[in-house]
Amino acid sequence: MGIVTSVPDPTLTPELALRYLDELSTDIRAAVLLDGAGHVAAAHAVSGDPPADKLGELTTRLFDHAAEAASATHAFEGPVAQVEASAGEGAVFAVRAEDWTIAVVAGRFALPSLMFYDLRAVLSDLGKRAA
Amino acid sequence: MRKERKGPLGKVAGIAEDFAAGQRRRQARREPRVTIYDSAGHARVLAEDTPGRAELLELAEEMTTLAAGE
Repeated sequence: MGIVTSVPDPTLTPELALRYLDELSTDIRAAVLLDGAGHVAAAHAVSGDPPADKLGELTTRLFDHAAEAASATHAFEGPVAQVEASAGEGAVFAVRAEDWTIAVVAGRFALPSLMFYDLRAVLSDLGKRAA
Repeated sequence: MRKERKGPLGKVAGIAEDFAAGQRRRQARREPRVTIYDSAGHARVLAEDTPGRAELLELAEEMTTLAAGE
């Protein structure tokens, strides 16, 4: 589930970040990390090699449609920072920070608060690395 | 809060109510749901007719299928 351990920042790469994330949560089935330009920096899937580019493209579209929804939502302020969409057998959690965007596919009943906590922790560690 | 019923019939009715409430909670968790958050962490659950919501659910299903390796 969502117990966050410390990550050694100086050696943290996008690939390592996703591997740590996978260790943090047994609910995660796949993850993709995009850099500030929207390019896929790393991808990971429990089932094997993930279709990284496709997951990256879908993540970008996720935030595009979230922005569309936000603009139609009364009193929603600023850009969308996080998205949670649960449908069918899975749920997608995505977080966008200044330099990175991360999205994971998890089981339908993953706890959103823990998922977002873990995702923000990973992005924060990656942000420190870039600084 | 549920009103207490007396006697064995009341106990059975109470169990049935708890079961039905559990079923309703489980059903509610299975419903498609989209929530967006602003940078301060304020959440908004999107109403069914919100523009973009249907596309977000489609994307979530597509990503779930990809994650399963299908």
